[in-house]
Amino acid sequence: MERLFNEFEKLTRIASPSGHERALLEYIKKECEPYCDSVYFDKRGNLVCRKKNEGAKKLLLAAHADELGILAMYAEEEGNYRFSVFGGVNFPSLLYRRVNFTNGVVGVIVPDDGTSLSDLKLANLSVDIGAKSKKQAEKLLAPLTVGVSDSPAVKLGSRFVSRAIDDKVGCLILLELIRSVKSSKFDLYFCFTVEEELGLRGAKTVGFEIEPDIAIAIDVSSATDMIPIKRNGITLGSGAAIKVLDVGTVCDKELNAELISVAKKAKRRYQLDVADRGCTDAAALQFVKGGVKATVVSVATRYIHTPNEQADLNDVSDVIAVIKGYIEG
Amino acid sequence: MKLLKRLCTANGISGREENIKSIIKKEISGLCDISEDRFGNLIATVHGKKRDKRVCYFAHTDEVGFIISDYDEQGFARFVNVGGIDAAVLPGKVLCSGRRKGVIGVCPVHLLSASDKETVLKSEDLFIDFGFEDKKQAEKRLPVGSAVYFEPTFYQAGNEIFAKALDDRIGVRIMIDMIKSKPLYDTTFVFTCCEETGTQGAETAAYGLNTDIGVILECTTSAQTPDENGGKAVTLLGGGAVISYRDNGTMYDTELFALATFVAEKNGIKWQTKTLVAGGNDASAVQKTAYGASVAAFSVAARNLHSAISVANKNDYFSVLKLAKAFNDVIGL
Repeated sequence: MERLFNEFEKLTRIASPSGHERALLEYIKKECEPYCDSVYFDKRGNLVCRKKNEGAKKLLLAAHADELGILAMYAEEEGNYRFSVFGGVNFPSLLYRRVNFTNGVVGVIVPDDGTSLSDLKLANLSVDIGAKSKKQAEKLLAPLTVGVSDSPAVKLGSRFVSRAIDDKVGCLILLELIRSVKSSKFDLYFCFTVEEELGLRGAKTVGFEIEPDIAIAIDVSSATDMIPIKRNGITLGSGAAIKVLDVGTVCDKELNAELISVAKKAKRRYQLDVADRGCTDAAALQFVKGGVKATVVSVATRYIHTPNEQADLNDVSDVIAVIKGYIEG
Repeated sequence: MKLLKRLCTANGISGREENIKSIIKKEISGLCDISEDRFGNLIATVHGKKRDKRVCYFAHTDEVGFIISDYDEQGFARFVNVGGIDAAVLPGKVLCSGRRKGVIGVCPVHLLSASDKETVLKSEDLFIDFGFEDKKQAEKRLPVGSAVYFEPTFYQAGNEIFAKALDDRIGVRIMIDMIKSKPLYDTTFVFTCCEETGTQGAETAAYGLNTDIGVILECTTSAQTPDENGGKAVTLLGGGAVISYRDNGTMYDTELFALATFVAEKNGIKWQTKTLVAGGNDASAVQKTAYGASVAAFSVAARNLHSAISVANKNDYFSVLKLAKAFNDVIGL
C-alpha cells in the first residue's frame, strides 16, 4: 500500500489540466518505455503504450491524463485575474481555494465583493495573486497560464485524499499493469488520453487508430457512502467497481461477466456500479468504427471534482488485480 | 475589398452554398486542383515544395439565415433560423429570397401595452411579410423550404467594414488570397459547408483528408459595446489578429499557439487572444475526426456577429491575412 501511494503521489506532483497533459505524459512515457514494445504520441497528443501480441484480440485500456484546473484569462485593473475552468466544477467548491500556477505563482479564488453564495459564476469570481494592479498582475502571471488546486496527496491509513484522484489513479493503475503484466492473451494498448474532462475529446482519435476489439476505461466513480447515506451504491473499500451503466455507456454484459469471474477466481472484492451521473472515455470508445465492446472499471471515490477527493488503496489494488487477471487469462 | 464585397453580398445559408462556391471556383481555377466531396465541401490543393506534415486551412462558406416553414392564410411567412440568431436582432429587418424582398413583421408600437414592451421576443413570435396576397400566391412564388437572407449590404466607413455574412466570407477571402499568392509548400484549402449548423461539413472533410495541422480562418465575436471594452468584450476591433487559445469547442494545440504568436511578433503583426472562453468553429471537428489533428485558429474580430450587418476592422483583416501566410511558410516542415 505504501508503494502504491508513493507512486500515486509522484503523478500528482505534475499538473496536467486539460490540453496541458504533455509534462505528465512525458513522465509516464519514460516510466513505460522499458516495459513496452512501442510507446508513442498520436496526432491528438494521446500517449499509447503497446505490449505486442500480434494476431491476438486487441484490448485497449484507457485512463485520462487530464485533471481539472483553471486558466488565467484577463487581469482586471484591481490586479485580480478572471479565469476559466477545465472540467465541471461546482462553483462553491472553488471559493477561497488556493491555486498553484505552473510558473510558481500562488493565488486564491475569491468572489467579487457582495456576491451572494447562490449567484456564484465565473463572471464574479477571480484569482487574487497579490498583485496591486493590472500591470503588476500581468508581470507576475502571463495570461493563459494554467493552475491547479494546492491540495497535495496525503495518506490516511488505507485511504488517501488528494486533488485529481480523477484520473491520476487510473494512470497509476495502467502504469502498475504495464510494469507487472508478464504474459497476455491480448494485443495490449495502454492509452493515456487527453481532454476527457472537456467532453471525451481525446479518446475518439486513439480508438480510431487502434481499432480495438475490446475497450476498458479505468476511471473514478462517485461513491455514495458520504454522510448521511441516502441510497445504496458503491462504497470505499468494497473493491473494484465494475460499471453496469452510466450516462454515456451501457457496458458490455459478457465483458462484465468475464471480469466478475476473474475477480471471484482471484478472491478479489468487486462491486457493481450503476451510475446516474457522469461518463468516461468508454462512451467515446464504444462508437469507434464498427463499434467496440466496452466497459469501465472504477475506483470508488468521494468528493469527485473537488480539491480533496478521497479513495481507498485497497480498491486500487483490487482493480489492478482484476484487470491483470483478465489480461493474463 | 471588391472580392470581399462580392462574397458578402452573395447568398448561401448552410447547405445552400452553391453561389459562394461558384465565385470561389472562378477565382481560383487554374491555380490549384479543385475537387468537391460528397457533402459539398470544396477542396483546393496547391502544389509547392513537399513538407513532412499535411497542412490544411479551413474557412466556411455558409452564413446564418432562415428557411420558410409555413404560410398563414393571409400569406405571412413563418420561418426557422439556420444557425444561431437572436430574435432580438430581427424585428423590422429587411430580408430577401431570390429577387423577392420582405420585412420581419412586428406588432406596431401603438398597440403594445407597457408589459408587452418589456417582453423578450422569440423567433416563433415573428413572421416575414413578403407582400403576398394570400397563401396560394405565396406558395407559388416562394415555396416552403425557400432560403431567406439578410439583405445584402457592404460598405466601408473609416477602417471599419460593415457587411452581411462577414462570418465567414472574410475567411474565404483570405484563403482565396493565399491560393493566388502561391504558397511555398503543398497546402490544402477547404471551403467547408454547414459550419453554422454544427460543423458537419468540416467533420466529413476532415475524415478523408488525414490532416496533421489544421488552421481555421474565421470571423469571431467581439462583444465590445459602449459599456464594455475590457475582459468581457472577448476581442476588440483594431486589436489585431485573434489567435485562439481556447473556445467553447476547442482547446487549441498549445505549441501551435506559441508558434503563431512567435510568427506574429517576428513579422510585426498585431495580435490578440480571447479574454473569455466564447464561440466555437470548425476546429472542434477537425481536431477530433478520424486520426485527429493539431489545430490553430486565426480570426478577425467582428461586432454584431450573426445579425444583418456585422462590423469588422480592415487592419485586423490584413493582420490575419499576413499571419496566415507567414505561418504557412514555417509549419509542418
